[in-house]
Amino acid sequence: MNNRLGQAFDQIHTPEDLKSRTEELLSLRISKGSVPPKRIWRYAAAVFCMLILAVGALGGWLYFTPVSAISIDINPSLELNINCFDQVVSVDGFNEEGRALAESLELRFIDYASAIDLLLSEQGVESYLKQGEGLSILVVCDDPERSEKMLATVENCTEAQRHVHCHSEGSENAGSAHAAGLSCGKYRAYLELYAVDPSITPQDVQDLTIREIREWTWKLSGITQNSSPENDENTGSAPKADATPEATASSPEPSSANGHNGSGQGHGHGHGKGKHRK
Amino acid sequence: MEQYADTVWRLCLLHVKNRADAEDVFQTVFLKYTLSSVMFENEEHEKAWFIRVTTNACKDFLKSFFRSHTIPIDEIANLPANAMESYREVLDAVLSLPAKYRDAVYLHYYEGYTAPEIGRILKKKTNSVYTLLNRSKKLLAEKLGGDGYE
Repeated sequence: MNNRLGQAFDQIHTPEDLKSRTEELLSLRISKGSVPPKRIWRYAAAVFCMLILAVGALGGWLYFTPVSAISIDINPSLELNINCFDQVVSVDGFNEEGRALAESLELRFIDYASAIDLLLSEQGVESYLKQGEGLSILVVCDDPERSEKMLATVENCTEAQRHVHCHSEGSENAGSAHAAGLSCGKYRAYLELYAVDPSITPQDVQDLTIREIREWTWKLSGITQNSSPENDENTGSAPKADATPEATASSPEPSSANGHNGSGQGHGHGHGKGKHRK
Repeated sequence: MEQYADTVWRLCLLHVKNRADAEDVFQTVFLKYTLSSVMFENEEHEKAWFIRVTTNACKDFLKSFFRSHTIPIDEIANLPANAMESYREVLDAVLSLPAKYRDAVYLHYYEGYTAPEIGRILKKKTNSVYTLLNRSKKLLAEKLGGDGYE
């Protein structure tokens, strides 16, 4: 019976006219390059998915790529890395207290103004401020317009506080600052000190507070406590350039300490004390 | 096309029976082949692809609204006019089997596939294929007399 079945099926062959018509149809389709509608939808769906993925990847990249930073130094020294949507995407601590503070507060994925508010209301930071420690907030951004806007926001956030200095500068010193293990804000203060005494190294200031570095600078510059603008300061918005160390000494690096808006460069002058290590 | 045309055509006739519809399915299968981006490992793989796509295309056709509302289910098979009477009897017997048995019968008795191979091609369990073949054997024996069906 196997044979009978085999022989029976052998009787069936594709009609020649069907073969030739099919070949014609296929060659026509191939030459036209036409694609069945189903396949077009499949391609469209694939392209759409790829587009969604690309947009998602781009969005993710944009979101997680910092375009600016805010260096906050009082004694805790930390930097908020900000994306183009003004959200904090990461926080770097540059000393023990900075790292502890970064870990204790949920600063990521909120806007930087809220992050600064959170930081200023933190108990430790508040107590530093009450003790009269100087708080330095440095906006690091290469886009002058954005930098100006951020500085204005930061100043607005800190207007109720005393002993707060807000500045802005480009990112040209960021690499050197981080290589020295300092935040940009502390490195800026160090550069001012370095300008009056080039023998001072970043390691000398690593454990000092911003206030101590400034007092050291003022002491070396011969600026007295009474002439310090810190006596009446809130922010660094009113530069008294003639009285600043930067006005009297040049920076060790050509690009250093160039604020975009020139604000905040008139930091307080010596209070007559300071834990100067040299 | 030459290589697999007969296999595709026979499978089309086993299911669709109407020549015009069988031609449509036949052309659909080769169109799918032309537009397919499948990379075949060897001829066996390619042949299995043709068998699977053809059986699926036939099922799709039979399920279609147009077909189910316009074609009588007991349509006369379009067998070659010059087929010898004895072979015609065999083919009629195969065509009278339930649809799910026909592929297995054709693939086993004509193409020489084993039950596990048929299972892989048609995405069925090997045991199910054995069952289909056994039942087909019995039915064919009843229709054609039991000689030599083993």
